[in-house]
Amino acid sequence: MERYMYQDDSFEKMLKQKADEYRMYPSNQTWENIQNRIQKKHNIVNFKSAGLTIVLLSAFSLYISNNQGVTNKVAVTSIQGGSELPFVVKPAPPVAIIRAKIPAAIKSPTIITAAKNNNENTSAISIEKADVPVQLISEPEKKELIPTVTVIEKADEKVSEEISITKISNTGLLSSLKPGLSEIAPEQKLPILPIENNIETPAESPTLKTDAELNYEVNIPVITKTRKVKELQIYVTPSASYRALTADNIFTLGNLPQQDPENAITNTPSLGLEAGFAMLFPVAKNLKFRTGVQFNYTRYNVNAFKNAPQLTTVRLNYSSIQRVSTLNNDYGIFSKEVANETYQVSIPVGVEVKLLGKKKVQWNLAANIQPTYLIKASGYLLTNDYKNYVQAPDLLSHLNLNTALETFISFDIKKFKLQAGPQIRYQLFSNNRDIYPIREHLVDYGFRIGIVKPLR
Amino acid sequence: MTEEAILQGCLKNLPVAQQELYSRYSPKMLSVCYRFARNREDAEDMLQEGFIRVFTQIHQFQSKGSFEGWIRRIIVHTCINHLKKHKKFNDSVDISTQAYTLQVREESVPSIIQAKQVIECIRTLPLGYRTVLNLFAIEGYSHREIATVLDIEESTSRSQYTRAKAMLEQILVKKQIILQPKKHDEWVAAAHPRF
Repeated sequence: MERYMYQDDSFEKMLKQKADEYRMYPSNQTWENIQNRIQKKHNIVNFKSAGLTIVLLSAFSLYISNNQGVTNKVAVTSIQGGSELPFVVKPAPPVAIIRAKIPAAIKSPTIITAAKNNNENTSAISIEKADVPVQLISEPEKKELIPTVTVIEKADEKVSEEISITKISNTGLLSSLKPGLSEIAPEQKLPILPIENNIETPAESPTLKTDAELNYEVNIPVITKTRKVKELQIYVTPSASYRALTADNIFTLGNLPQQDPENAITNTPSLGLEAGFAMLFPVAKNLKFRTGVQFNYTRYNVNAFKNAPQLTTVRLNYSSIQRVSTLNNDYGIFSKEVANETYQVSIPVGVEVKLLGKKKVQWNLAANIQPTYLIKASGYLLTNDYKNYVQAPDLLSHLNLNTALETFISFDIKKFKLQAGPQIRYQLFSNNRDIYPIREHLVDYGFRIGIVKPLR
Repeated sequence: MTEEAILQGCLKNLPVAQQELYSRYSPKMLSVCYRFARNREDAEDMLQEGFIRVFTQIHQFQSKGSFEGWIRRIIVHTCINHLKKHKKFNDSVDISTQAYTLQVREESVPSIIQAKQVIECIRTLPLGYRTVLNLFAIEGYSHREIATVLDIEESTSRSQYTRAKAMLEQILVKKQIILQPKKHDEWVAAAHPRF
């Protein structure tokens, strides 16, 4: 009986050993697919490189030609005998070594030949396949292989001069061995790259090493895709409620027709509250869409005086109503503070942007608009002459639109995020119906505290 | 061809070097992919994507560590991405805890365990368990790394691994590949006589 007694991590070791022993051999199609995909990527790069090279060479040629004071102007005739074009060349041009990446599949090099015929004062460029042998070289030898080849023009000769242009591929260097290029030194012969025959037998890779043991650099891109996780936010915002009053003086009748209502009355802010929940939907890396339901309680205090009931007229835009008032604005025996309260429900729709920070602590900015429905209100309204308060909730508008702007710090605490920061909420339309000439906008300055839970 | 020559050749996009690299590492890497994949076809897809990534990002390799380890890491990440991309990972993560009462085998068995049998047993695990087990026990990832890569909690990784290990134990015992240890933390492993 043969047994292996494993201690502690022996089970893992056994699994690792067996997993490393196992080999599977992929189909040939897999390698072909890989090769095609890589080649495709390289071709795209090659096209870009070729395009860039052409542009640079053209720009360089233009630059050189513009800076040449004395030039030899020769007419270039195409091989097909096309129209003559003026062509500016250097008097004794060096041979250009053109680098161009060509597919490895090309077995015989293409030789671009520029021929200048002094007799006919014409030049021609021809492209031909070379029958000469091609030698592949590896990168280190390439440096040695780029000779400074110069062509010595022999003005007396009536024969055409052939200039061979060397092409260098990405996988090796294709060199023309035209007899005319005797200027290439013998020591610049192209070394042969050891190919299949020189491949060494691969050494067996060590097994039973964990990745940690292999100790390689984890300098590879993190290819995990960030999941867009929805989040649920629950929040509460204690706030100080204010109101902003404006009046259209045309309709403010009474003794103080031109007076700003802000100066005629005394209101003090009071504590309000917002509470709600929202769903956060990630839109981009630092941007979230937020919507939910929010309940609002606003309150500010009206400082008035208790008085005997009296009939007062509330002037509307083109009509008036009469109400009994027991609250006087400017005089009375006993002062009385009444609360102007509203209970609202709204649907905030907005965005949240991360401004700074990483996962643990973040600084965010958020804004939203809130279609709001007024559920209930005490509805103390100032009469047009600013003398009395009447309770007229029927003159309040039930639909409104609020907007809110907030900035907050978010703290990541494992399963939750805590959020805290200041907020301002402004009611865009008047609290009162349009027919009432004094417009009241509620403003709440609050501090929002929220908790966010990711929904996986 | 030495590893250094292969690396240099691949850096210059030499097909000869690329093919050599592929020939050398693809059998091992395919077996890695196979452990993560549902079938061989998926495994070859993962291998293909992984090697394309290796060839296109080879310039990022720093010769401070193991070249094979670097390749393997890319392949593993590619496998995980493949599972996530095809929404296969989340399908089978939640598995109820079971009580594993394993029986001790007393008869004698040969010492050599066939790798294929173990691999196939691993592959019978639910995908979530299998992924965590592959990453922790075989690829040497820590639970923290697993949590990051799989976008799960570290504690989830631990619990998944514990369950995966228990389930694999049971399968290996049932298939008579290992023997149940006599003590709780002691393993007796042996191959089945028929292997």
